[in-house]
Amino acid sequence: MIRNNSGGEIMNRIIIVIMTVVMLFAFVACSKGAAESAAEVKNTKTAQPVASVPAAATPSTGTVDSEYDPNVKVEFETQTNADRRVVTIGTIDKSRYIAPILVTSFGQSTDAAMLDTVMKRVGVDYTYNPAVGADGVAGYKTIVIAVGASTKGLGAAGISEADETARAKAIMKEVEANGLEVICCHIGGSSRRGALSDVFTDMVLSQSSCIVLKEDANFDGKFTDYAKAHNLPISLIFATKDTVQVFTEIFK
Amino acid sequence: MNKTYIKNIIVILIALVFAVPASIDFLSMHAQEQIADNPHVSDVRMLSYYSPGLKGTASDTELFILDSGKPGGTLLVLGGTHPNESAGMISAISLVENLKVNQGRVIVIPWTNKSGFTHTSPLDGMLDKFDITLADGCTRTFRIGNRLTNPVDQWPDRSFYKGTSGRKLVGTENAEIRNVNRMYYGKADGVLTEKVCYGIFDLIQSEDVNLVMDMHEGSPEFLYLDCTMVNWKQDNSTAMSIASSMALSMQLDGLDMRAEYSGKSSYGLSHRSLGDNTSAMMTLMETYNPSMGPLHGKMDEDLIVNGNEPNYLQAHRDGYVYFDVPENGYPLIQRVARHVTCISYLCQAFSEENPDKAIVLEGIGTYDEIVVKGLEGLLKPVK
Repeated sequence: MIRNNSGGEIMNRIIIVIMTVVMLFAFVACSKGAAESAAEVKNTKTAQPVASVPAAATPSTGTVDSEYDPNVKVEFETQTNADRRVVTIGTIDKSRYIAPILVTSFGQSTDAAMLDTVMKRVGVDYTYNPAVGADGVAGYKTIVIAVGASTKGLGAAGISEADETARAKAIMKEVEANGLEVICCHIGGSSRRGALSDVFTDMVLSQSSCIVLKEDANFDGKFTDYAKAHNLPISLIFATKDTVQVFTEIFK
Repeated sequence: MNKTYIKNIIVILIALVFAVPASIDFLSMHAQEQIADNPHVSDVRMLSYYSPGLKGTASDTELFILDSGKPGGTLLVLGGTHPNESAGMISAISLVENLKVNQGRVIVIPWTNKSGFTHTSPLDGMLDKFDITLADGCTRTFRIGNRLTNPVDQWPDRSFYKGTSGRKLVGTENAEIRNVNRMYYGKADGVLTEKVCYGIFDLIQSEDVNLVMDMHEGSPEFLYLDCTMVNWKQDNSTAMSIASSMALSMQLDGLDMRAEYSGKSSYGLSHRSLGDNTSAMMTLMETYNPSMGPLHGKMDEDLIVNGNEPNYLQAHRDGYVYFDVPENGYPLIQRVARHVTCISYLCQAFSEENPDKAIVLEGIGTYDEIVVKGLEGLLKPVK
């Protein structure tokens, strides 16, 4: 019995020593592994997308997550970049866009609130009503529509997709009947592309005389193709803030 | 003395050699950051003033009041809602130390979840503290806590809990019962974290707060970085107008920023539940914190203060991270400057739309000025 106990005690001690050594190795291995892993990542180079240069503008190449399939990366050429922030294709006839001006939203995204801010900065007299009904359109000469659906915005405003679509349809009917000039503004970028957003966009494009577009939303050429096919002027902007420059040119 | 006793005593002494310094180090997390004097701070109160149930608990926290004495609006700034999001606390402290309010009133809470500052996230390999050496050579130490209340102060996490907002905490969300930003609008006699939330809710009501900014940070995987969440109100939709104006101003300064509405189901979060239940305009801003995501490498002061995280830069280049991870890191000072600039532009926009409730700030400078100053110039020496 005594021999057995001593043997057990020795075994326990050996196990403790082995476990301590294993833990020490584990700590050392972990820290070394992390350092190596970081170094490995730091030293890895990835191929950068190569831009092709069209004659008309200084291009850059962008990649976006298409909302249609987030796993599909869409590579496309852009005409705007950090140095060339606004590219207008065609000529915008600013004399068409006269007061009174209405600014509204199709899709209740925050882009309409941004347009509201932009109009204030530019110093334009206008009315902002993101949820205006068809009966509120009469009397205006120009309507600026921020297109782009936001489920958060619709939810916050307590408006269903069906109601918003019906409102948009009714407004466009009134716009046509009253002969308003329409500026289609898609300034939320690629995150404002999607099935519902495109429904609103198509509705507005059909009666627009001018398009303002944050260019990363044009990854499939939807807007530039439409503008080309219908001979519409289109202002491509690099970032939302560049709307200030475009609106200053249109309204001032 | 029996040999066995001697052996036991030796083992205990050896254990104490390790345990005592570890305990001292752990308890040092209770040592709160000092704040430099600012003659423009008119009053310092404890949150228990508004939520008496907090009195004597580890979650009772200071609020600093900077009152211009000139009638205007009231801004409430929350830092340290999540103690591991360092830019929130540092921004709040920098406001307390530098701000002069020329009209209206500003109330700042640097350690909103004070209990959360007393423990870390050990399994995330988080650092517990970091130092900033100031221009005069002295050093200030800041804690990096855990996003949740310390379980020593609030335990156990119930297997099911329904907060006052209606948010149901169940399954993997159990621990969120200790998350200040899930338990709004709080409960005076609820669990400790709810008492904190109730204190802030009551403070907003009692002090007639008009505008609230809750400062946060997120890991690079988070979709709402460089973004301000805004509550939508049926009777007062101007919060988005103010936030959009702020976002445009920041964009014109070359800083990415956008404003988004609160999520429909963001129950219990400050911007949603305080917005729904008070008259204040609620905003919550997020900056990118490279130390917070699961890909972060070695946790050291370089990562915390200089924001260098090559793993995330690589992940972004490979298309796995949406956020445009800066090539040269995202230093703490830039994140602090972003928060402070956001607050400054929010107040400007608010004052333009509500001239009778204007909140006019001085002493914090522009984004570029703050970055040039650096943390060493922005933070003041403490006595």
